[in-house]
Amino acid sequence: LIVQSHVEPVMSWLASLFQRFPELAIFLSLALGFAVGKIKLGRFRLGGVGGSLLVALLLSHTGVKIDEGFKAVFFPLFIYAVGYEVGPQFVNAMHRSALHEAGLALFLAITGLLTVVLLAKWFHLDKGLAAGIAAGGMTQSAMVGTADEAISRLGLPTAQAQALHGNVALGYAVTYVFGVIGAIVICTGILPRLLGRSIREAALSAERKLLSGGMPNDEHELPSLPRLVGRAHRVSVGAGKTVEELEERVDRTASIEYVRRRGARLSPALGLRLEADDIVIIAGRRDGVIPLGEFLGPEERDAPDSGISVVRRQVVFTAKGHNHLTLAQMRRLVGAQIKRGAYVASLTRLGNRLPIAPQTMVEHGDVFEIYGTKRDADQMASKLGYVISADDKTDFIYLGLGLLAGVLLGLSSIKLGGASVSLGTGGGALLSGIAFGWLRAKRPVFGAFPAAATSVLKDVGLAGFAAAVGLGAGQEAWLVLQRDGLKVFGLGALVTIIPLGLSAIFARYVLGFRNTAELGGALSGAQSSNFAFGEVLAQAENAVPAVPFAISYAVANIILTLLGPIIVAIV
Amino acid sequence: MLEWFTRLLKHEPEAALFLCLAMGFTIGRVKLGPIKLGGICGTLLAALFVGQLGVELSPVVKNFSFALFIFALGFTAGPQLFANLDRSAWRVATLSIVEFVSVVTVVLVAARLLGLDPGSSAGLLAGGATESAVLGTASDAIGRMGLGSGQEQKLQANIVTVYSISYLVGLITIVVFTSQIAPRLMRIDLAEEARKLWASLGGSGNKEGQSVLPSIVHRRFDVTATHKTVGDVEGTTPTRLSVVRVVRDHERLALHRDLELAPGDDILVVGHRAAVIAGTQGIGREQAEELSSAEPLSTRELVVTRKEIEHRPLSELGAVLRDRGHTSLQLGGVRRAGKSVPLLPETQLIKGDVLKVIGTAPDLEKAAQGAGYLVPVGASTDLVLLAGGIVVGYLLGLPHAHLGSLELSLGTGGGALVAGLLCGYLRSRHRRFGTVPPPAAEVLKDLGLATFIAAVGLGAGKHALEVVERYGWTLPVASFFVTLLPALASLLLGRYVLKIAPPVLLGAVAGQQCSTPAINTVVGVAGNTTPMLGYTVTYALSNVLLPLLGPLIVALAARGH
Repeated sequence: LIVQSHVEPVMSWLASLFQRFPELAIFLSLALGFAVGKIKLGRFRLGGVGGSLLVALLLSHTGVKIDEGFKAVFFPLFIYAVGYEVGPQFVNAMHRSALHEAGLALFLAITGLLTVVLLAKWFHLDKGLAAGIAAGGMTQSAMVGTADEAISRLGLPTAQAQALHGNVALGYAVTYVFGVIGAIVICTGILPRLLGRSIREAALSAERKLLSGGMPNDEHELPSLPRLVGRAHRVSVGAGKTVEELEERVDRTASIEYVRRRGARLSPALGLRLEADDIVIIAGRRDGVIPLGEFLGPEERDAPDSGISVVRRQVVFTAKGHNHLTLAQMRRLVGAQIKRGAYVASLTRLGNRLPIAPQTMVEHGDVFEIYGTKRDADQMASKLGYVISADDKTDFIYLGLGLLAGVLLGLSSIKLGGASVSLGTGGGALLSGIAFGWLRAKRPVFGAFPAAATSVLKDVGLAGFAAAVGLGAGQEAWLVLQRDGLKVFGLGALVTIIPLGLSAIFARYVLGFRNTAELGGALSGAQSSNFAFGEVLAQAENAVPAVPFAISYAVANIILTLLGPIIVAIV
Repeated sequence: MLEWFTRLLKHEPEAALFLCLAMGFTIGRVKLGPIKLGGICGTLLAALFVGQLGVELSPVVKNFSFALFIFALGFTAGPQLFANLDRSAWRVATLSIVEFVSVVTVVLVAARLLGLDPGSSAGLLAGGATESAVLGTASDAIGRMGLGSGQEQKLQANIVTVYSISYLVGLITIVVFTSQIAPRLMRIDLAEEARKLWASLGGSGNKEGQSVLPSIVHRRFDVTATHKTVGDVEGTTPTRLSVVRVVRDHERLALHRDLELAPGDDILVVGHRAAVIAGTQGIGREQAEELSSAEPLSTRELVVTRKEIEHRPLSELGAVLRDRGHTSLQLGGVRRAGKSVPLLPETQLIKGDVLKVIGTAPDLEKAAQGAGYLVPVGASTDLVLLAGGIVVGYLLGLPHAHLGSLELSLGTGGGALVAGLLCGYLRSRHRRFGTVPPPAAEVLKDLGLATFIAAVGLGAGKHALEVVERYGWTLPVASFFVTLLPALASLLLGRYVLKIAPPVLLGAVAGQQCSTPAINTVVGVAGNTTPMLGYTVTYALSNVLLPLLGPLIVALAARGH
């Protein structure tokens, strides 16, 4: 009571503030939620999303109203960004492991259905409450919609149908919160124990395996010996040779860019014959520059200020007629037209670095990094394809189109055995994100979406959505909890724990999942729990859990939605 | 078809939002002569168009997005704003003050002459100064006037409609003025002036790219020399050159200065070019291939926090670090308050300096313990800071002050802006303070503003035609003067009183209106980036202070109306 007398004035002050600025409630939930989410209880951390949900629930006492429009904007943003990041790997992984993730989603749906049906029998739940508990316990809000629709089609008297509808909402509201938190705890707290490895370690090792043969393209890390170098030399042994002869000796892997003779600058034409004590600057690949330097003479310590600068260009390979050629073939075909003085520094495909070997096959969409003097590099770039501009600005045309496609995809529905099934906004935005992300990786000419941008949109999108859910579902849930909510709450907890627990064991011992990060992704997807996935992702610190998540999430979104009408029919 | 589409957008307003973004940024890319509209203006036009269907977006989405935008704006502007308040920049900074005073005066005169309501006046100011953030702060101020909701909505819609017209006129005016008309008024050849200025600042040649001979080099050798120690190679100036790795019989040896190299050793040397050439003379054969097991070198930022290295010259820094065994480290640069400090032997470090250090990961970690801490790579946005900062901003925006009969308050937008500034400033001083990484801040700014603009555009769509009919041609003419007169005033003052170099002055005039298209065009005509020297100063000030004029103009116009 003493606490209440202190809390009451604060709450009413907040209530009046939130009435004027409802968005403030969301910001406050995020700020406090992420602070709470950082607190460690033993080895377990709730994380920012769960924290935001909890804080939002407390703040929902103020009766703040967040409209549906908010969730409708920020949820697709999150799920689209997830799909976009995972798109390139998703397409590659499809054939490999899709069956396992789909199987897991199916298993979870079946155990979930059995749990609900049995509990309904033992505790004499009606159709509405059973469907509501299923929807909340398994955090699949679309089930509320499909169950409602199925109830309307039963042809019951209005009052009875009304009560059932109410029970669906009630069951959902009371059990949803535990559904979210329970899934987070199981996926991030219990799974690592079951598999004996933390999500972060598992994610790292999976990443290493994926990259075998390539290197992660990390711009903060330089190789300890840069591939392309420039040096100044004083001509001694090279006197009397022409520029062409010398460059030919190192197979044109380096070139002479600057010659100074007795203080005057000469143009380094191919026919120029070098004299002793000329100062020359050479540039090119390290394995060419070192021998070329030895053919010239000692290295010059006090390099002249030549004013020559070199540029780097990122070029997407799109040149017609040269697709699927090896680098050696390319060099023969294109090389004749390209002047000396520009070199390929690196080659990446779908974000992974490829070896620059003569047999390496290049495909349209690969990104060449070219290095050389401005004129030569630009000329080479124009022969290869499009230059990618270096600025890291998000392409909003692409983003807007992708999100629009996602919303439209999620709305379109098909009839399946009387119930109309749609992907829902989540499924639609995910698929469109995957498709657009994959297209971008294939042709990085358009659609820039820098990693830090995706990451902040994911965080703000999901946590904002969680806060809105908490602020909305809260007040109702508190009221019901005070009456006979404990029973409903407990049943919901069972509906969350039993299917997830059985599925985790099934995945480990039957489907043979070994990697904590991958299973965390697959399991949170099978439960269609964005929140649990958000935490798994945050702990993994890379995109490894996203691929299995995307597959099981897409499957689960469809199957779990179908459970609504099935439960209404069986119970 | 249209009916189905209308129903869809009304039912799923988020689809309308995403549609406006895609359409708007496409429109924004279209070039009219030298001028591109830009994505924000494009989004507004698209939203006004789609708004004719009667689609409306959730007000929570609108306000949430605006808060994200304006906080991120403040956060990124914070360090520069405070850096520009120092002595060297005051002459250029004065021009922003000219802008604030003159733009408010011109708008108030126009409002009196044309009988504009507070909403339209604010729209005229927002568009004339091409500063979209004013839309948010002004609507917020109108929301506090306690008008009936019908009247309030109408005024807020007027801001948007008038803005869309005056923005178009203002954009074209400022671009043409700064790049074509002003150089003629001053009777100068902008390209020639820019070239002279560049040379006087010590610049030479083409600045794109890096020198063909970079100053830090890495080389690997097969040792053939005998009786040489690591110390012999490194010489007496280990800050200029260090042996980073010694591999003997496939084993990596622990490094210390007395380690004697043996023929067949595989060593990696890093350092300044001249020092490396001198130090490795006769050491052995250079190798081109990278060891596959080689540890890559990372470039990281290290923030100085430890007392023991404070006020010690850089020439001693190497010795301090070396005592702790950090043999591989190289110093790539020092930044203080966001600016590069020259790397001279006598340069002294102070707390808060950010060193760019290059080295292997374990050595970097060790160095961090001795000197300060490493800024995490790929830092993600600290949401406690972002959301908490905005909450604080809202609270800052609540109190209001009375100035005579004027009731002024920062408003929620202004409050969030100020909170963003403070957080950005604190972050630049204490790197441990949470962060919003630059690309994340960019996307929050762009998406936040675009979403906000789409929301107000959709809402104002219904009233747009009405306003255009009411004012007719007078509005574009008024907008022309709202943009032109402050620019002209700054040009005269800057040229004849403050005597600012013409390229810098033109950049500053573009910056005082936060006009990115104008500066791009001026740089294009000038042929080098000297106008940026002026632009960055006034831009940093105007970008932050112009939004605060929103509530002011609403209050002033309401009194006169």
